[in-house]
Amino acid sequence: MKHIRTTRRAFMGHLGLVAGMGALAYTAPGVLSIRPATAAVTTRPAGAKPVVSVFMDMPWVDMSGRAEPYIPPRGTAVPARLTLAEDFGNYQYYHV
Amino acid sequence: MAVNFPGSPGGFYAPTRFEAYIHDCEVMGEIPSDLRGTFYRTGMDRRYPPRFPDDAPFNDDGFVDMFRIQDGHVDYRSRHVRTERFLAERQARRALYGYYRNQYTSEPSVRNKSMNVANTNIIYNNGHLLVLKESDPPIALDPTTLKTLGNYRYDGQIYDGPFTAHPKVDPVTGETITFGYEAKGDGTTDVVFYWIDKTGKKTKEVWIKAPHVTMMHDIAISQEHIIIPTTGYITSVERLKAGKIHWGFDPEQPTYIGIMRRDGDGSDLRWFKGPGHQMIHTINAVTEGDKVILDAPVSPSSPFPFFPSVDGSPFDPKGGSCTIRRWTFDLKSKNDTWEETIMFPDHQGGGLARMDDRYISRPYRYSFMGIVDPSLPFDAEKAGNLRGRVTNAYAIYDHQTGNVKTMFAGPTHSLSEGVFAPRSPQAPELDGYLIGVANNLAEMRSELIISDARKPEEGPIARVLLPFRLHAQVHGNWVPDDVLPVA
Repeated sequence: MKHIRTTRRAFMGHLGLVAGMGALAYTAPGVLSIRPATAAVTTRPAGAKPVVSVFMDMPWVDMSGRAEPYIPPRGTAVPARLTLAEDFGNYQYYHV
Repeated sequence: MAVNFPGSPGGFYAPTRFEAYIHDCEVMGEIPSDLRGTFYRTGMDRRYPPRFPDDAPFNDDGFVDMFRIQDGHVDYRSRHVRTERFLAERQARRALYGYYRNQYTSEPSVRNKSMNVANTNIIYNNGHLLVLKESDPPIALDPTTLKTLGNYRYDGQIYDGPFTAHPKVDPVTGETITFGYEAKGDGTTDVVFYWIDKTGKKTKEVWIKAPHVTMMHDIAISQEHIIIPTTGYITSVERLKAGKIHWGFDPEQPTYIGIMRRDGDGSDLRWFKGPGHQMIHTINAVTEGDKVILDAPVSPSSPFPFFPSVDGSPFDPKGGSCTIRRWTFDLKSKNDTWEETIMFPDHQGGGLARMDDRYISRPYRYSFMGIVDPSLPFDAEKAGNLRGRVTNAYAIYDHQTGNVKTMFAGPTHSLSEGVFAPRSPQAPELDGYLIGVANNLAEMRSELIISDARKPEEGPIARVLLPFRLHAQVHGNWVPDDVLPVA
């Protein structure tokens, strides 16, 4: 195995770049896209786009993207916020 | 860094994150003068974004609401439960704890500390208001202020371990039968049962072994027996150390139903075995001779989409919907399975079925369940694309005649679990009110609705209007004035 030396700042900066690129690929209005950045334990098929869904009044995140997404009624959605690179260390499991 | 919920589902399901008190709520309609008592409910509301986006909502912070009703007036109060975890995360101003019931995914500073979020059920038992989470001991709250008082162990008579969210109270003797599973730690098959008499004294403690490590959310009691369902949700220490959420769903796992005598020592415990259908909650059970009859909402497959299948199969919404079924066990038979009758096959719901609790363990006639009725009107433009995915009616089931009546709350409403409040302590079964919280998805606010349980088709007779939306509920309970005075 080849080891690469890096600093935490450089590593987080790289993640931030990836997060920023992901943010550009925002989905349809009202549909939230969530991508785990470092949640290695979360299994997600390659290319799948996680969605927030609702089943029997319970919201849940389908990492496989196969569930029907929840689209809040117009005017009631929490405003989506692009995650900035400097935020990424704090929201390491999210970006929108 | 300021708090931000980038993973929030938004709309009605975004965290609320506030506590409230309203003296004399706005009421539409008329609250019956003979309805006097307190409706407590509990559920989930995240203070901070979870560490994992696909965490279960069952891992959100516990939140309690109280509706005090007397003389046609309603006072409302709500509070987060101040668990050890809540306080630690508030101090840190961020989530510290990991996946639902997996300490290995928490930050090192809080590993091996209580993960209790106290968000599943709230009961008034032995003179204490207790908020319950099946993975941890009960937490006592002040019944008027909802202030968190601390863990409650029946004056030290029970252990400091998992305690079910569904203790059963015999309405005649006042005896409480309760239990805890994974009782000797994560991944253990040990289950402990406690018998507590009406004075609060522990009279018996029995330890048994489950057939495998599994979610055991609820039990039922008859006058003679305790009925113990298992589910297809499995876990192990290895699974937890691998960093996964506590439960995985195994579609191949059979269902086991344990039956043991209430007056025994557990040595007569017998496990029946059948197809892997999911019974998370029970309604009631009776013993008739050598037969034990258990009524419960049952789904063919997993009802919880956030506990993924261990074989990678996708969540099946149809398979996760419940119908009320009757399972009959023949204690004389050498065949270790049961007979099933689907009692109301046309009604599917989320499995939060209730009854008049004065008939627990005894012959009864009626049950109640929130259902998803796609034939009822739903205004998707105002309420979002939730048609067929939220509870839009209460069904009142007559187990004797097979008749069903429904109560419809409105085309932009979803309903939380409803409870029955008898008109008086001596009122006959069904003579009383069906009470529950309805969420108005279009107006982004919630209301407590009260309907006559004998005439549900006439709709709510009163709506207690809140000027804000409430968090998701799991369970609630009615505590009448003669048990806990309102004034």
